[in-house]
Amino acid sequence: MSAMVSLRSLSKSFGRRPAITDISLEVPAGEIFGLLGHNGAGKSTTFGVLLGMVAPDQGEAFIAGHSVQKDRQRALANVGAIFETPSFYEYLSGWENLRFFVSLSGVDVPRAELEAAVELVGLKERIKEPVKHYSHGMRQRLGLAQALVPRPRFILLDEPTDGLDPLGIREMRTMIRRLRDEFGITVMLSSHLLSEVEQLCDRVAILHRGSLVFCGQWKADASHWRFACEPTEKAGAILAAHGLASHGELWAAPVEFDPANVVTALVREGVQVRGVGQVHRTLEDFYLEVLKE
Amino acid sequence: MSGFLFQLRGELRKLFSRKRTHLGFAAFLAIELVVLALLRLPKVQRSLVRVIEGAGYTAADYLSGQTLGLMIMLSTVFVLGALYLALVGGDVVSKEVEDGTLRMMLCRPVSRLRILGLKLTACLIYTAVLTVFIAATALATGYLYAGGGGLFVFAPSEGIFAIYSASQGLGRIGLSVPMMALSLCTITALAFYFSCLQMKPAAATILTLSVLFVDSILKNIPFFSGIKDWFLTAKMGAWVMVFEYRIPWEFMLEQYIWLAAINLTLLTLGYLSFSARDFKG
Repeated sequence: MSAMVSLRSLSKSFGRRPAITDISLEVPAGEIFGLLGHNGAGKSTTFGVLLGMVAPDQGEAFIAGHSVQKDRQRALANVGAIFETPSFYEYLSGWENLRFFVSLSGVDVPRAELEAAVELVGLKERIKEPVKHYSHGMRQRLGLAQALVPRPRFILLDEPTDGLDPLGIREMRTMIRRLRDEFGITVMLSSHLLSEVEQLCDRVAILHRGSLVFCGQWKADASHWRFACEPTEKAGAILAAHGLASHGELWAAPVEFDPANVVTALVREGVQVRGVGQVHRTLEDFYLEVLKE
Repeated sequence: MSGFLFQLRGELRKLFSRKRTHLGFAAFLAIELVVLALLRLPKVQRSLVRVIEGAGYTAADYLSGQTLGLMIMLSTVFVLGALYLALVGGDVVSKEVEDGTLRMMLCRPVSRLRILGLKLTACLIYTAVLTVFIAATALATGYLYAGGGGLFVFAPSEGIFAIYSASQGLGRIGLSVPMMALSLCTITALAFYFSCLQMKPAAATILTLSVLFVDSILKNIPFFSGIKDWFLTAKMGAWVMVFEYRIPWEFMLEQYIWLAAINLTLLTLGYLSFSARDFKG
């Protein structure tokens, strides 16, 4: 599958402080891709470079094969984005805001397409009201609506669920999935809600202090187990001898792992086994583990 | 080009939907009414009559709507005009940066040059509209108070003292409006330049006004009279020259070429600064 987004050796410093260092990654077309990292890890800078708002010191970003740095207009021609908190002209209606931002794309968008986007995000009833009367969730929806017109091939969402209530988060998740499944739009998003990313994304990249520390399918790891044993050092040595790898409190098991054999071995060696359980290792566990390493 | 016009329409809608944009219109109307009320005071009337009759003309013929309209324009346009153009021009880019709406614009496949071009064009249209509004309302209030009659021009700082018939006067006032708009474009360009730099909208407005006030103060220092024409506000005052009996076109052209060069330099510097900036919250 061809790459919709390609970042090649991106580096950027603000003054003496490096924001991102040598970031390279690719997002294939049709994927939902998550960019993760603590605050200040470099996510916004990466998105800024990708949208041509931040000039990298080194490297280049490509969208659909076009260089953002050399041919920004062509690269962004098929891009919709919410970069940081969506901001609007408070004194204009949602509809007027939408029309204005869409006009900047330089293409003649039929009214029906605008109305379809408004309907898709569920703002039809309130779209003629001034944005100053909108709730945070409605602004997020309007942000998404403007990103969807004209129909993009790639959409970039920076914290799309930020500040939404549980129902809003769920609706946003459903909408993002629809964008990919129904319209074939490639999605790249960042979020601190790792449970959301876990449910949505095919692959993730993790940034730490401006460097890429992981990029791939975290779900493909071996299954994990939790052992409650005494003494722990002795138990750890026995588990390691059976091919289990320590991941903090959890143990990654090999494919042919049989828990009965291990428990028998632990008991035989005088270890008290209080409990054994298979654990679904969440993205949060994985994320924290990667950053710890 | 149609794309540009379509985008410009959106930019103008944004500009003219803001309450702040209309402050200038309301303020000018208010000040015109205040000036008119003051002109009705007997003390002021006597002073006006003395100047006109001292020149050998009948006050009744020349204390007219045109004369009062021009007096209102001369006394208000640079102080209030500077204030409101600086307010609108100083806001136009920096406020959008501050509010985050510029980031939303830059998510689109539109060049920074185009964005600035749209904003500048909208500001220039606002300048023209405000100028026409000032002239039209000043003249209208003058006519409402004093009715028809000839035009008496008394602008001592520019060394102009002239008398015109009603039709000639109207022609000169009509000619002065586009000239005044051209002069005011420099305030817009100055405010726009500051707005393109990395600063708060209020700072852009205050800096614009500071430059104009300092320039005006320096221009009026008596020892600097020999270099008076060097100052920005002196060049901007060239529009008043259309009220000379023999209009000094050559001199005016020179002043406007200077202003155009200054404006172009400011706009180029503004663009260079804007295009080199990183936009990230």
